[in-house]
Amino acid sequence: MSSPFGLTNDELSPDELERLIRAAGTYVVPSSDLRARTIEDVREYQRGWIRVRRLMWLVISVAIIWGASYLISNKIANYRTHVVAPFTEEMNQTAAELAEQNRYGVDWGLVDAYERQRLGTNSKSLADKEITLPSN
Amino acid sequence: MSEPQKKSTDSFSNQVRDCANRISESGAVAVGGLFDLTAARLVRFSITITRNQHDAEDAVQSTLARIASGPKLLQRATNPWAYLLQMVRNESLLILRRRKRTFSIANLCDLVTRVAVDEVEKEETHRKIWLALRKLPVEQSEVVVLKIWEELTFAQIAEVLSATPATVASRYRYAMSKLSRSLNKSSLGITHGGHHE
Repeated sequence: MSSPFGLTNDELSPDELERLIRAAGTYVVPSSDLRARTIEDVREYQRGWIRVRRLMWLVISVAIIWGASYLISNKIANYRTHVVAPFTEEMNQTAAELAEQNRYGVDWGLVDAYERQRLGTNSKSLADKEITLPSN
Repeated sequence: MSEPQKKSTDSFSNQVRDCANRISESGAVAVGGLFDLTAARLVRFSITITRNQHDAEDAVQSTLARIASGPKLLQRATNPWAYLLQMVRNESLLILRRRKRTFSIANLCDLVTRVAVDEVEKEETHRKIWLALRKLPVEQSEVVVLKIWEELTFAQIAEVLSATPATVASRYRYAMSKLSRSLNKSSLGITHGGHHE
């Protein structure tokens, strides 16, 4: 036997079917331990993320420090003669060169070499420069 | 969709956004709030895709973990609830692809069920409805779940499923027609007055 809407007496109307499906929506529930598992998972995920972030910062810091020290060491190398005293070997060599050039003893050469160093002349080119000795 | 239904969906979406705001402010401790609000609904939606409670819970778990680490995704979404459903769907599909499980849709043994004391007589009906839903193709059952349980419009469902509203509406009609063939009053033990026997 059919109803006025073309349904047999045994068939559910679309509204009835929707109502029954809606009512069955709460039948299946999450497991009782899912909440605890999820929160633990979130904490673990965040701990992992914090570790990764720390590692990232460490790598970035090391890179910055390395880059900065490379630049600074290059700058220092350029100004080494202004900030660092010349090596003994350099002074001895300059003294010998000056002694030969000016035809006096190595001890006077050493005096002149130190004099030039004090005046701020590049130690490597000491021998090439003329010293104007004060005239009496 | 009726006006009260739309309002309830919007209000639920706003609650989801509030939870995301709290996660953004307080961190992992606030995830419990989002879980309490959405987990039951997300799990039942995911079950329609994975056909398995265990995988569905894994999908929900990893989605919430992702939200906890980036709540801005949810805060910025136009419809946070639809966005969360979409995330769970993607995660469920991913799990389904990764684990090629063999599952039985002939029973509900893998599901955790609960019936209120005053609804014990309806348990058999609920079981039959869930079994009938499980027998539908995934693309049809997910539309039914989103339309009836989540009260989304066809346009919103289309957004979640990345399909057109017309396709979604057609899937819904096919699904309901199959369900009305497999579920009838006598099989559900419903008398002509609409009461359970």
